[in-house]
Amino acid sequence: MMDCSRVHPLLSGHVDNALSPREALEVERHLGGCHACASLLNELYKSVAVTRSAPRALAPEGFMEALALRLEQEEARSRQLSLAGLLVWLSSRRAMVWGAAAAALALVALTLRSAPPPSPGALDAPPPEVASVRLVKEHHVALSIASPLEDLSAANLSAHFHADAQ
Amino acid sequence: MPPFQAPCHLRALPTGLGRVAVLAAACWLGLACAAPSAAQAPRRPEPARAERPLAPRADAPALAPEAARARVLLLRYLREGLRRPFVAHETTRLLQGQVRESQQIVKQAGLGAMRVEYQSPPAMRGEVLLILGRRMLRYVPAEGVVHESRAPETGVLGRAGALVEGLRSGAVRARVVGREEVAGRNAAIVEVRGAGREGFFKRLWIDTQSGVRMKIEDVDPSGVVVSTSYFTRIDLDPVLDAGEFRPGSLSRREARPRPLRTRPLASVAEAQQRVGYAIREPSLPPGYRLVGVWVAPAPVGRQAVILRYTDGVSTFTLSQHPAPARWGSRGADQAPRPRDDRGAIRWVSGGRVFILVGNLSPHAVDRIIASLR
Repeated sequence: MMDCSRVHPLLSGHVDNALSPREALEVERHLGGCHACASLLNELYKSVAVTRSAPRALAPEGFMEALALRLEQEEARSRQLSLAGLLVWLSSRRAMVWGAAAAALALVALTLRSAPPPSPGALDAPPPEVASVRLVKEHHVALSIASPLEDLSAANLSAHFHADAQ
Repeated sequence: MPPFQAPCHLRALPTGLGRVAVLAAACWLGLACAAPSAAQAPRRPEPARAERPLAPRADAPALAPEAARARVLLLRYLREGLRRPFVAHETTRLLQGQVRESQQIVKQAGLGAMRVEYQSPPAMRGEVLLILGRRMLRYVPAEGVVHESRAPETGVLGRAGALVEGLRSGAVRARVVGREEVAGRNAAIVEVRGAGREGFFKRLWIDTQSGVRMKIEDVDPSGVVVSTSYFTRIDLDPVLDAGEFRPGSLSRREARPRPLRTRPLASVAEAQQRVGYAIREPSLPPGYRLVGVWVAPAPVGRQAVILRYTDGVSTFTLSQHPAPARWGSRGADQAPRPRDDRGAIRWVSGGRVFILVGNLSPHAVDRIIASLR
């Protein structure tokens, strides 16, 4: 069984349903017996809910295109730099500030684009029990073995796609 | 609610002479199973088939021609199609909501010996299902793990026997509804419906010569197809590598048993004793009955109880376990999420987490959910 130090780095991925089935199962097992990690997970979900419930703001027209153009220019420029030149460029205060600002802008823009409208009760939304649903689907597949009327292929395909449905 | 008795596979059989008839059919299938290994079986010509209809019960009403023909085809499928060696390319599509598709190579070496090798989608590429009787080994390359499951009910013979008895008793109804060529083979389309008059039903495309099932569809009560698997190419009686039908053929780093390897429990009461909480049983759609009870570890909280129901054709699985106390407000009642497009629904009611998997009409789902409040 995983210990807390191994579970902590995985909690963010758990919130995003980005863990492998095996990792998700291990994390869920750990959470079943660890109050500290369960509390931490709750805090993460609350943070996500707060972010989602924040008022939406629209980026100015042409913002994304301009940002993409600037990032492309910077990427092309950075490719042309030699290792030494890259170190010099990175050490330049102006470039550092510009890079940090661009990254922050990109993060904000992505958040604005991907955040869905807030839903009522978002703060209380329970975390998805992805592992539980997967297990029951796997049980359903197992129970279909040897049945001449069951479509085992369809059951197995269904069991594969669970996380995005939650 | 009808009482549940164990063992479930014996309960599916009738009593007296009927049971003798079904067991005889099972023995017949068993003898067929004892044929030489398919891996070494030579290609043989396909003889003309004489039709041997299934004898109905004495008190059964006379069958319409399309129903009698359907029984003959289903028997051919059970007696011959399930044991005929083949290699086929299969496409599977889930058609509810966002369409999902997989493509796989299916190899059948004989009765209860099947290997499915996934080609796509990318998430499933390289996965292998190996069915050996009641045992299923599922190799997941991304995890480097072989998950082992075991059908906790009876094996192929018992399931075939239950279907035969269902046809004899009239609980399962079948009729031929058309013909179609699938992967170059002439197939008859057999529609099979269970005791649930409002339930999902199935269509099977059965090769009239070999008895092999070429295609299968799950259809909702309104006639909409929700999933389908069909062969795009088939090679009958190929030379198969016997080594591919051994567990050792699956490369792996570790083997991991799945929880449902055990036999079903004798009753809901026994399951209740094991888990220590009151098991809630749903109000069932007409025609459905309980066929098995299992206790399995739940990823979150205490042990889960798994209940399996069937109307003779369609099945659904209901899992329940108490919401962990640490969930706090998250363990409060939660309305079911909109039914996902892969046949699972999850909700929380009275501090209990329920998960329902299977093909059921919205009306039947509502009825089950309401009865578990």
